[in-house]
Amino acid sequence: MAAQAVPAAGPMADTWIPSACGMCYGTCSILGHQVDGTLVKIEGNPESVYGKGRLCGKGVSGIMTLYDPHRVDYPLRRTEPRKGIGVDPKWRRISWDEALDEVADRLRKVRADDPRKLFIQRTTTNTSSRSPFQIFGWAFGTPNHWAAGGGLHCGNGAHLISGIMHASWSVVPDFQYCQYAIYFGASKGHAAGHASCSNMGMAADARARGMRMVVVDPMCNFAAAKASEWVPIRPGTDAALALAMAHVVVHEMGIWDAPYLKARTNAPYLVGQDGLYVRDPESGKPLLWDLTAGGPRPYDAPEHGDLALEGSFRVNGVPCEPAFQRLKAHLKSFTPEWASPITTIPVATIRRLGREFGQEARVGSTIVVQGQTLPYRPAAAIAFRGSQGHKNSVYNFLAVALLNHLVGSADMVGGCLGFNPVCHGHPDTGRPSYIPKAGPDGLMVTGIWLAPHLPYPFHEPRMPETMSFLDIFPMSMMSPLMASSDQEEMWERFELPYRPEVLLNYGANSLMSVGNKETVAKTLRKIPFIVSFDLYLTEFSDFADIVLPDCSYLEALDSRPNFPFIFNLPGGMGEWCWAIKQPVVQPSGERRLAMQVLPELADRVGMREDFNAACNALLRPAPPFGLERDRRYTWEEICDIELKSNFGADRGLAWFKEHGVIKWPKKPEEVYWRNFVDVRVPIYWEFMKVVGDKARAIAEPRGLKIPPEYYDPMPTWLPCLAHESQAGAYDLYAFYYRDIIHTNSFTMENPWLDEAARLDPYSYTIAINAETGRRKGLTDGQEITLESEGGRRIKGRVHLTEAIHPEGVGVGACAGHWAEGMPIAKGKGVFINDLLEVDLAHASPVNLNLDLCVKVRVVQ
Amino acid sequence: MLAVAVRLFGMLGALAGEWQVALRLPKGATVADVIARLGDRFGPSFLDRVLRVPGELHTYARVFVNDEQVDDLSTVIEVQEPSTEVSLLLLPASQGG
Repeated sequence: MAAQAVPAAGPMADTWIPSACGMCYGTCSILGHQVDGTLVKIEGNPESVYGKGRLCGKGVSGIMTLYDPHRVDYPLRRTEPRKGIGVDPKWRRISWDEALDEVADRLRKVRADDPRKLFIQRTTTNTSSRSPFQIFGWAFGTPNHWAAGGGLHCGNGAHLISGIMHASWSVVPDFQYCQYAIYFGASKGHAAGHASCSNMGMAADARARGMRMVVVDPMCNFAAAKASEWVPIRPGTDAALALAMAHVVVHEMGIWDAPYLKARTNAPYLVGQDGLYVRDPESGKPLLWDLTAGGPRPYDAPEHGDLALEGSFRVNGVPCEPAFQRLKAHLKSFTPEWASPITTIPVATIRRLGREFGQEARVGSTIVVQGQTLPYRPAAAIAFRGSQGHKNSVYNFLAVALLNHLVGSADMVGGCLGFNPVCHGHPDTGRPSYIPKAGPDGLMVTGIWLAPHLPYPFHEPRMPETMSFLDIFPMSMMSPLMASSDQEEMWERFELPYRPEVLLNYGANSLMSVGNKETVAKTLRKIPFIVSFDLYLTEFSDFADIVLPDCSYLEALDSRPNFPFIFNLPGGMGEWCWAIKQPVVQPSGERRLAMQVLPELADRVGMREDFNAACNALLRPAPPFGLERDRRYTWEEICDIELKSNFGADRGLAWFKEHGVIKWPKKPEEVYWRNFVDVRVPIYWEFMKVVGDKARAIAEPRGLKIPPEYYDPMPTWLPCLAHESQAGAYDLYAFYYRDIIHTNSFTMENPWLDEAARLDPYSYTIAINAETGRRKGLTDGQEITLESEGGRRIKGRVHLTEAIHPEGVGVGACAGHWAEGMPIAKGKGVFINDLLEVDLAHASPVNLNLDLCVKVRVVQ
Repeated sequence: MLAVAVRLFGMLGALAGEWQVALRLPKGATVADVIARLGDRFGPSFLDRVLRVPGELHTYARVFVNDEQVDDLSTVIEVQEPSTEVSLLLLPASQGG
């Protein structure tokens, strides 16, 4: 089947057009079958590595989103000045010129006054919005940019720690070689998300090959259903299990990968009694103990003998010990007997899991891959949203990550892989090329990242000039303060010198994606002017002053829907692949692609030079492809520049429109890069103490308490507010999980997906353990109300099932719409986020991840 | 002497209150010298926004010399007539997903 570019309209034109899916952020490559100008079918693109020809139910259903008659077709302006939930904006159709004139006028005034008053919000569902909206924000000069619930719910821990430990956005098992994968609240390879369809195939192949898979999760859903074993766990207690497994591996089995720990981590760095590195007085560099020489030396001294991982030493009279010695002693108390009552997992199960992981890691073994003899560590501990979506976000994720580093399986054959953190570039151009490097104290700095704020090194905590307070919390990426109940109080206490005046939204529905709607609505009402690019009139649109009709992904162009490769390209050996997104049909009505509007808006605001400079900063085009300072570029031209810069003058947008993707083979030096790149990662987070002390010095005089136990260099298990609840009547832990049928709150309006969800016993219901339900007198299908301790209530139909922890209440997706502009979605499913409090008390004091488990009771 | 035309993009220009600054520095001046001179002019809060620690850019700060991105602050600025252009841009945004 030959892929072709969008043809000129003609009678019975019949083409298959290569593009990229936009139904979730997995962005799998697709082929759109267009007949006579109409899209009639969507399939996976077998020529691409993104999805490898597979496409999930959401992907094939995209056609119903494209042709949804409820799409917004024209710019709209509200005429009703009052804003609120259920308040009709009384839309009036206006022209694009009228809309952009008003928006540009507002933005121009704000920028002249204080550019920080612009607040940019965008959805994570459509990854194509990331780069252009970043560029617009940088050019404008605002630091206030967030992805609504994205990151706040799912990634502040996962991305931070994957970035620091793997130079990647996420982690997966090395599906081709792994023998034992244990998942902690993760669905890599079994549901939506990063490298979605590619991972599904790879995970299935791995299971067929014999990879054993254990899923630790309060709910037996998409990953657990395909696992060898499901281990039900009390929500938010993953760190306790992982630490107990580490205890078994280190103290009961005596297993650790000493060569790996010495060469690739800070395990041999000497730590003093104050918890800080012992440093060389002259260079300030951390010291290690050279057993061969019998003395200390800086970590990067060119020649050295065997390094100490254990023991006690004195340097310049200061007693100290290697970081690994500290960690080993720290793990001593985390026995299976300690972890069992916290997690509800039997002692024998915890001990068995630890032993299985330690044995399967096969420490000391090697394997030959494409002629290279490499360490073989076929055991991987994988975590994602479920385990890190808690107040104790950092330690829950870090404890799991440490399992891989103790046995040396991080980025080794068969082990826990980051997504492609090393790329040597296309053979013809050497681009894109990136590689981690050593940063302060010899610790790894990522070669590429999704945002300019790298996970390491951190900036110094400082008084906030951002709405988010990321200034004080440098280990955070997203903050609840963008829409929290304590927002104004905190801004006053910390003397934030401005307030947001314009909100520029791209497709996010923060009324539903952040937390309870009343809190979010209150923050939105305070913003004088809101403009929103939308497909539908959503719950958020009701708060907008102007709505701009966006193109769907099937009407859109993007030169980098999957870049950088640490986001969506599958890990492991195989091929590199760069795909584009292009229109498979022309937009109808007056829809315009937001990315095409932004350069025009920049011009109208009078910041063309800033916009072009920001484009150059993001794309880093190779000479001679850089954007000229004062020339106006279209979005198409910017996409063309990026592609030519990376793949040569002959492979610009026109070439990619015809071919869809470009591929080249991966090398073992890239995939198993940790054997070839001289960087270390921290198994002992010494910097936590430093950052915590500085953050506290700023926060506590202003009444914001930052508990020091969250800033220890080694992980422990700290309870969520839900675990500390003393109200006995509130006896269940409510949480949500990602439904494989739906993406965020977006897809409920799709009629095919809505129908599938109505047929599915879980998608639109509240799952409660069958025995628990019987004890409470519940019957399957009954309408129930859940009430949080804070008095917030949600309703839904209960589904009684064995597939959930006895203390759990599981809700799929983010449903329960009420907007009139989404009639298919309206009234379907359960809006569990309405139970969530949004404030700093319910966020991690380290990375500000929102705590997503809520103690509830059933009110019949 | 070396004539340097500094262009401050985005937030830096807005906060400095000036978008273009003309500097004269001795020949052989480096990018670090330009930033130091801007620090003298706009104060320590300007430097805090650009430098993570003395001598090291924040990971989100970008410096261009004649439109070429420069990562090494010790880069010597070459003479270009009528002036060499140094531009600075902050990329202050966060990310989720």
